[in-house]
Amino acid sequence: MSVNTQVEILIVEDNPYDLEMTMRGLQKARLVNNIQVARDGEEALDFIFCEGAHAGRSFDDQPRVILLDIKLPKVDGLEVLTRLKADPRTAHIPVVMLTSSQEQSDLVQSYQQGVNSYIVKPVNFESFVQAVADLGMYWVLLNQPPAASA
Amino acid sequence: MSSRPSENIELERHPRSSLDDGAAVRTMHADTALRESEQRFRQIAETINHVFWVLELHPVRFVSYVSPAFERIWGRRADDFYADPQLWTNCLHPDDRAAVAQAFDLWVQDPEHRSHVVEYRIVRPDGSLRWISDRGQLVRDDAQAIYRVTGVAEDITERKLAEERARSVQEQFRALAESVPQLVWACGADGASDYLSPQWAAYTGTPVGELLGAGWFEHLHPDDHARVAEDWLIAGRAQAKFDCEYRIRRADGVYRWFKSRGEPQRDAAGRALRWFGTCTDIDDARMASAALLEERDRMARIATVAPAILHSFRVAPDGRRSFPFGGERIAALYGVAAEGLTSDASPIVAMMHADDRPPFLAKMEESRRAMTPLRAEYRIRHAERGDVWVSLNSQPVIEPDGAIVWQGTLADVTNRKRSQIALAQSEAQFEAVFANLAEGIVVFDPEGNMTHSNPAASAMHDIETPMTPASLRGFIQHFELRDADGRLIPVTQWPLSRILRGETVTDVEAHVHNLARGWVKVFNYAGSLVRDAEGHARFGIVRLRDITAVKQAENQIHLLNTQLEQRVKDRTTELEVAVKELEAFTYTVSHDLRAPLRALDGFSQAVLQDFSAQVPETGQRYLKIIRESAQKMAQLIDDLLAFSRVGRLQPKMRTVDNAMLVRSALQQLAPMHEGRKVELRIGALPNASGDPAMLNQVWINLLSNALKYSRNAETAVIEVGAVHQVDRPVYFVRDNGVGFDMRYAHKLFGVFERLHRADEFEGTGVGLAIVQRIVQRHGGSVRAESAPGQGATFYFQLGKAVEGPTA
Repeated sequence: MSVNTQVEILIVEDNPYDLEMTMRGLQKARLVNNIQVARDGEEALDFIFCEGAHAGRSFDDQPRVILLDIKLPKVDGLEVLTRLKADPRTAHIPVVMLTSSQEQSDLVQSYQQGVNSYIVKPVNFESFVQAVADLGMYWVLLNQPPAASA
Repeated sequence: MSSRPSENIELERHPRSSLDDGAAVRTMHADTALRESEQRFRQIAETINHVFWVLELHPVRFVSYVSPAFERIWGRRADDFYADPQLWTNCLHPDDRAAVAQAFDLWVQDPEHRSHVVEYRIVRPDGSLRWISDRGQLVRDDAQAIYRVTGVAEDITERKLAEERARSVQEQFRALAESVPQLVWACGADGASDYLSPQWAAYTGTPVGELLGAGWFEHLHPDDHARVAEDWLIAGRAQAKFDCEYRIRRADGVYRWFKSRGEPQRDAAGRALRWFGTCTDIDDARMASAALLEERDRMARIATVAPAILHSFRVAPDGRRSFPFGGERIAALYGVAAEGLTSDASPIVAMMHADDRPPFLAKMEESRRAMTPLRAEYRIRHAERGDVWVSLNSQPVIEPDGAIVWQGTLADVTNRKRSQIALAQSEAQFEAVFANLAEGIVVFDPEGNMTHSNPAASAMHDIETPMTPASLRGFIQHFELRDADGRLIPVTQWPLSRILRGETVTDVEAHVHNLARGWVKVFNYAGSLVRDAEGHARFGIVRLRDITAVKQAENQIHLLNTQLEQRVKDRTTELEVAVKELEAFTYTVSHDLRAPLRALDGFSQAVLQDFSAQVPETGQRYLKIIRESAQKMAQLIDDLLAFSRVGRLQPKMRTVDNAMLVRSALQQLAPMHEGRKVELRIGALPNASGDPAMLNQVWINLLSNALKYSRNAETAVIEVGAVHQVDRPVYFVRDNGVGFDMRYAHKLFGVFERLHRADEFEGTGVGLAIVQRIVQRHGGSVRAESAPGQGATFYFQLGKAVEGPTA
């Protein structure tokens, strides 16, 4: 399995401006290689479980980390998280929740579903970029998921 | 017997003369002596009381001499005798003449007899009779021919009369002795009888001859022998009366009791030689009296031990009152002396309580008039015991003399009376309570017949007082019981039936239908069966409450509650919808309002970073203003959401360590005071009951305010502590900052309210609003004290402590 072809980060984000700024932040942190974007929860699930438009994709080629916005059209982030963590094949993939809110219910549910970390998207763009870059760096570069070693 | 004293008198009268007479007669036989002492003889003859006489037989019979006593006894002159030879004969009582003449003729013709005694009567000239005892002596000549008779005539009238009387007495005695029913006897001192009346023979069936002497003794009861013998011995020795009771065997062998009494008969010397007496049959009387005695003893014993005093109370015809019997015990009861009560009852009568006297006297009068029993209870004034109650129950009887005697019982009933009075009082109280109870009470006997009911019970059932029908059966006819669902309750399941079966019924409700009146009420039943010490059912008590109104109210309440519940449900649903909407709203706000702001800020920043060379300095400043405004709005949104969250979340109460919270808050706020001169004075902070996260927010907000508004002071002084007020501590945070004008204090805790301009002190005006909301949600209050330039103090007090684990 080539490092070049592996999707290192899956970003699930419906807001194009937020997506653009996230991409810009990751770019500045030089984490732009192999970034896959899903614009809603359904698309994210199709990608991860190799269904729909991604049916031909190899199930083994999973991202090292998923940045998952919580508020998504069709299937929201919490449901996507639930599905991922319920399936032993995908339960090990680190998921960082991205959220605009500090709503307790969101956080509690996220942790209950086994989220690995989360970031409240601040209005201050610099701190957001910094946070995304730090987290992305951590999960992508430092954290070797069990699946990778398997 | 009675003639003996007369004989004695006669003897005394002539003790010596008779001897002299004898001597004279003997001398008379000698002719010589006669003649020689003729003169002396005459003198003697003429001085004695006896009549000396000489009768010549030849040639004819004539009296040649009578001594002077003749004239006194015969009452005639001696010369007349000498003159009339027939006179002597004529003086004889006509009945005696023939006998005397015949006796004389026989005497003088009998050559063997010289002396002859004849007794005859003479008639004196006055007609009176005299008895004469005449002793004649024949005087013979040498040829043995009788030529003269001499004699001595003695007046024995008195002796004869005495003999006559004695004979009469003897005859009377015999007649008497033989006519009385008693057995008459005469005995010597040794008990040997010499006379026994014929009744002895009739009674014993043994001839009197065999009973005389000691014969009678054999007919006594053997058990009485010794006693009778002893009594005889005593009577004989003491010369005294004999008095003894013993049994004598009747002809048929039956022994009967006799009372034998004998009087000693004394001689002139006073010696008792014989006892005359009688035996009286007392068998019947003795038996009767023995029975009577026994009865009397029994009565007396009963009288002394009976709790009631047996007594008789007598009112004499003259009105005198007495206690012939029972006085002693009455006196003891009354506490007075018993003396004299048998003759005068007034000390007892006087003791009757004045109030009880008139009714008692009326009863007594009625009893006397109608001869009906006298029954009364009255008080007596006892000297020591006070009022003593007695109960009298007696029956009047009239005595022959007109006296009325009430015989009966008198008993001390004080205790009973007191108990009765106490009982009556208690019953009256009970009755009053019973009658006034709002709760209905019905009492039934174990058979289900009603014995008591109070007015409340009657009113509840809408029937008369006392309640009728008075039995379970009666109730069945008039009432129907149904349960809450309208199902008929069978009689066997009626509360009363269950109680009578021994069940204890509590809080049983039934719809009671009065069939006659047509109403339905709801009763609440309770009750139980009351048993005696042996466990037998005594009576059943049913307690009822008319809960119709309560039930109606309950139904109403139930209806209202149902409606209310529905409304609450509706409102809750509405609220839930609203809350959901609000959540969706806040969610939207937090997510969707912030996204554009991020774009504003982010892309302004991107322009400044990527195209700073093309943007003039003014443009760059504008872009910075856009960024600041976006961030400001984001802050407002965050604060608003925080405030909203405080309102929505329920505090989770724990015991909160405030000192720790303050230390933690100051650490979090370190950026605000680093590099500043800040003096922190932290006093004792008692634990509180509250939500740790929320209270942490309170401390953060208050401390950050204190630090913020004191930042212009050369040395900021922040004081944190608590003062105790009544039961809960009041916490405070004091600063020496700019303070505020108390006129605007009311705005202090409003949302977005600010007392300082944004260019003086940054802020959104939400911090204190959140503090107030949290404190209020803890049931407490918050206030502030300040003056411009004088610093400010914020106080807050939480609600009452609630137990909980330490946070």
